[in-house]
Parts: sequence; structure tokens; C-alpha cells
Amino acid sequence: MAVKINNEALDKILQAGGYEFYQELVEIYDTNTKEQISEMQRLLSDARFKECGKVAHTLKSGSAYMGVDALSSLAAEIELHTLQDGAISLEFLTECLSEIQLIFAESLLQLRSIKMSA
Amino acid sequence: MNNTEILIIEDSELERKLLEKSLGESYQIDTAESAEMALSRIESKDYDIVLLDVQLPGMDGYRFCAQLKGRTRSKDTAVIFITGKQFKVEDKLMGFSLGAVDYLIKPVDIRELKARIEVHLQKSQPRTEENRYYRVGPFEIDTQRQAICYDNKEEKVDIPMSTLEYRLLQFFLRHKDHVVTRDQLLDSVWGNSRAVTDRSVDVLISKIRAKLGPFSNSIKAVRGCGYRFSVDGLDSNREDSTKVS
Repeated sequence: MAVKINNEALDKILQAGGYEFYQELVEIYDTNTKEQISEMQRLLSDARFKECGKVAHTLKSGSAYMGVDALSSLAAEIELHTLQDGAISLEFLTECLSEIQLIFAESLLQLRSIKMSA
Repeated sequence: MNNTEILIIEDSELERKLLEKSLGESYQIDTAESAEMALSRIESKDYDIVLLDVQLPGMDGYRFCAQLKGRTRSKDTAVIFITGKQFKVEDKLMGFSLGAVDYLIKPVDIRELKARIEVHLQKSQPRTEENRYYRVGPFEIDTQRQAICYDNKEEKVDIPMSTLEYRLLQFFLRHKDHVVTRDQLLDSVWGNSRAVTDRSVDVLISKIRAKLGPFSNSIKAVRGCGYRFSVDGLDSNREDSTKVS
């Protein structure tokens, strides 16, 4: 899977704090996103959709700041779906979450591969 | 770095660090990961600007804003909401009705955020004799003396009030023609005090009504919602909230 990272977002991080700070944020993003994905899986299996939407909300903005726009968009879809008045589709949410996992794995490799001379 | 004090209230560690780092070279920054933690920060320190996430664990950003604005000490602190919430104009209006000066949607461009911070800093000048008074329709508020009077024919009538009564009436005047809930009033007027109930609001409003003379009907109950302050015969679209020169 080829995931496109938004380089403009990464430039803003590098401008704000330099490469070490960027690396620190990548590690935080790694830890937090893994936790958020696990939490969303647990909440979906318990049919706690609104709470799942709240976790997706946090994942959405964190991913946008890290330039992982595709993941941010999927998290937004989960959030929107859990906020709607109509019937909730567990199948749809599960599909979105599976895709999020794939995108996350690929994007993390890309984020870690970015090197910069001191 | 200047002496501007900014408090960032954001539960996401990543976003908190990014904002702190991005603004830290220009301003004095403190952070809090919850509204509850932020309440303890504002007890011990005054801030010029608060950057506030809406969706927080526990108390949300709106309730925190109401509490902040309800304290005499922090009522002039500029609040900028930063939220990733799905965009709804009602959310913005809620933020502004609680006294926020700005509202930004994530992901925020740091250059834009800095520019907005600077604009709000320029606007918020120290309180002087010039901006001590302001007027809402027939009511004149003296923010230094914490007193309110109203025009009655050719004379000004002082309203004798306790501190709580002043805070409640001032809140209504600042939110003229808006429906405000009892929760908003409790947060804004009583702040952290736990020994209050909806009944406390009703009792205090009755007391204020009794002191408003010809304007005693200005505070009307809105069934199922709360209260609305409006002055009969005063056009709500007219620019009638002005500083008194």
C-alpha cells in the first residue's frame, strides 16, 4: 500500500522544533495511535459506538498534524458515522478500522524513514 | 520572548507538545491535559490567553470557559477555542456566547495562530478609566466599582446589589437576547462552589428582578431551557452595547 504523507505538515513540525523534536513526535504518534486503535477495537466489540467516535476524533487531529491525511480522513468517517442519527453499521466501522491499521503501519515506516542531517 | 502568558489546554499529548514547542519561543507557555488541571493552574496564575480544546476528558472546554469567565480575576482572559470537532456553526456560537474571542479548527496553522494571538493581545489593553464603564441599553455598568445603574426618565438609578447579584446581572447584560441555561449561570456566577442548586439561580433572579424597577420583566424564564434577558422596546439588532465616554 502506498500512503502519501503530507510533507507540508512535516515541514511545520521541523520548523517548530527541528529533527529531534520531529522524532519525539513520531514516537508519541506511534504509541498513542497503537493505543487508540486497540481502544477502538475494544469499544466496537462492546458496541460502545459513541465512545469509539470520541477516540476516532483524537486520532483524526493527531494524524492530520503528522501529515497522515488518509488515516485522518478515515478516523473522521468513523467519528461522523458514530455521531449520525441513523443506524450504526458495525461492518462499516470495522472496515474503516482495518484500513486504518494498514495505513498506520505503512505511514509509520515512512515517517521513520525521513532523515535529516543535523 | 515576551511576557505574554499562555495556557494550552489539550488532552492529546502530541498536539499539546506541538503547540507548546511552536509557541514556546515567543511566549511563556503552561500546559494542562484536562480542564480540571487547568482550573488549578488559573488559581495560582493569571493568563493573557487560553488556548482551549473543546472535547476534553471530564469537564469539556465550554464548561471550563464559563468558569474562567465567571471569575472576576480571569474574566478578561482571551479564550481561543481550538477544536477538531466536526464543523458546526452552533459550536462556534456556543463558544462565542461564553466569551471566547476566536475559534480555530484543527489542524491549526501555527503562523495563523500566532497572528491571531497577536491581534487579541493588541485588543486587550489594561483596564483604564476610559474602559471602566460600558452600556447595554438603559443599563450602565461600572466594572471597577462593580455597580450597575439604569436610566429612568432623566435620572440614573443605582441598583443596590451583592457581589453575586452583580455577577449574575452582568452576565445577563453581556448575553442580552441569548437564552442562557441554568448550568451556564451556575458555572459563570458561582464557579467552583458546589453548595448551589438550580433553586439558587431562581432565588437570585427573583431578588434581582425586584431591584430592576421598570425593567423587572427583563429576565424571562424560557421553559425547558433557562432564562433570557431582553429589554422591551430595545431593538436587539441595534448596536446598543457601547463604552461610556
